[in-house]
Amino acid sequence: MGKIAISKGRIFLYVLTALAFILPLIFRNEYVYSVLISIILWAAISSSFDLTAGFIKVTNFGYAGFFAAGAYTSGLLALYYGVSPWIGLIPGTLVASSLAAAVGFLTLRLHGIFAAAFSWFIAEALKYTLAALTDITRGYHGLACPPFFPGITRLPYYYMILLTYIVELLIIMRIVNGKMGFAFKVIGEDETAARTIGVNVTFYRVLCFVISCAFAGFLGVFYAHYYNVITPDVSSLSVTVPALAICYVGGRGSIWGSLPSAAIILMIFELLRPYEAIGIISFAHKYIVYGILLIIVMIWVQGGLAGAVKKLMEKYVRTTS
Amino acid sequence: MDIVLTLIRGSLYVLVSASLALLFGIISVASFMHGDFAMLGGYVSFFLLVSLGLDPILALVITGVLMFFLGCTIEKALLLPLRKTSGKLWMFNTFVLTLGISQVFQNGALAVFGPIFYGVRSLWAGEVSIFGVSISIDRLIILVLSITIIAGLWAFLKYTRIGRAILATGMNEEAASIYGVNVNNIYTLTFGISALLSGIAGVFYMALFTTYPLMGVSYNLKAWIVVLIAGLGNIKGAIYCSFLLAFIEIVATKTLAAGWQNVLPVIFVILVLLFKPTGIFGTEVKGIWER
Repeated sequence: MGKIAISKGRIFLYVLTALAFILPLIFRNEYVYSVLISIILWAAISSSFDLTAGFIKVTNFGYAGFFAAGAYTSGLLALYYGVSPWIGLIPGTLVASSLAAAVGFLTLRLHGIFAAAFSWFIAEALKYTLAALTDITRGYHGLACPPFFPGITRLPYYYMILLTYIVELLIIMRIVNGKMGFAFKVIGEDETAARTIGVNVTFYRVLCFVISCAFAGFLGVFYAHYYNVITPDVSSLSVTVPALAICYVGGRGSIWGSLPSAAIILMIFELLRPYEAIGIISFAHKYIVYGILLIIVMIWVQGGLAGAVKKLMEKYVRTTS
Repeated sequence: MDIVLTLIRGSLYVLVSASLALLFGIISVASFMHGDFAMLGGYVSFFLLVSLGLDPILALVITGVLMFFLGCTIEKALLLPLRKTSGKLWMFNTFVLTLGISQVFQNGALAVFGPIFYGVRSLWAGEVSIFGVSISIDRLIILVLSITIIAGLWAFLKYTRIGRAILATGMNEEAASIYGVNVNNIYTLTFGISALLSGIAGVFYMALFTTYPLMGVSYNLKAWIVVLIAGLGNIKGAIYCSFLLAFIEIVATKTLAAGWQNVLPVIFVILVLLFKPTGIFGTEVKGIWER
């Protein structure tokens, strides 16, 4: 039974991947592309967020700071040195991960709440710094970033973010199922136990944090050159809250849960978009939805979507066997 | 001059920081929403003062009572069920949950009141001169009131039965419950008190500046900076450090270009963390790292 279930899961995955590649060829529509891109972008963001939130149990409230570090590094390099965004992906990721290493080294020796609060400070400080450096970053006027691809169609961006997401999932799955992932899980479950069996707790926590933030930096660069304009607000809670909500709704520690949850949440927002145009709902309402989802997930549905699916599967297996 | 400014600015932070430290120290709740309690307090008092034309002191009392009940309701409705399921991750879960609540409050206020600044010209008109600096009576009364409220909190915690029960719960929950303290009620009461203090801070902020939907963001950040500098859960330390933060900000405003005064406190936190990770005043509540 178990083997069949696994291969069924595999087939489902392959079909899903193939579908993801074919989907934009069926719906040849820029609007569909943009929705798909935002779904996968947010799924990718939340999956990397999940690496710290679900495994070492450090909810990174400053995720946006690392995201912005990547975005602004590449954007500034492109503006002042004419560096292509493709090359900008490398320094963007490096800057975000070295910032994460510094923050992690400083705070992850202590308990998780410290790292969460502190990386939030870092993000806020970065926001204020970027806003204050008006001469360099243009502050709230926004920094213009050159696009990855010439032309106006969003199709290549879709394939780029899809490939990024698949590679990210492969890397994260490999980490999670390996020795490193075991260390992460043990640290999340019981720190003392982890120390007892000889896990270097601080090292693995910092490592987990850095990997998660490296993805944040990479995705930040994508964000900058996809939307072509960034403001200091990419370093604020307006990025962290959706990432956090999508990740928690998907299910902490599941990694894959982010995709369905991003799809559902963003689709709902898309369906509500006509009302946005006539002013019935606004920017604020989206964040109210995120807030309510967070409250519900924290109190009543702690497993999120992944937990619900797991329960359903167990029920199904029990009734059939 | 600087000292007077520091005292007044600090008196705006002291209530929120003390209430945050109270939550940390007693019931290990990491609240992300105290800035928003201040925001709500500001709105409530604005409508009491302007729409109903009440006396400032009366408005202050009514706002405090309302915020207290709001805090109690939130604790009973949301934090209590969370506590039943959380176990070891309790503090972290409260952090995320209160972030969710704060998003609802902030954006709810944005949707209801719009991106408009609400403020009154003054609670009490007139000004006096101290050490050659003329200060409005408002600021002076607010400073005095803040200090009085903090002293009242201290007296309440030290000398009343309930206050001592609260402190005992903070020291050891199980022991307190063995001695007949209803721990659930203490949680509710503590949360209500901290909401009350933050709400009153919001009234003061509204009187001196203005209240607006996203006010909670920076207010919350500042309270957290204070609490981290002081050491989590250290109420006394939080009171001193509020004035320290105010001093740092005033120095930064004077010496640095606009926009940088928000960066300097964070750099200061980094330095404190580097050299004394438990905060300047250390933490009296040792177990805080284990929760």
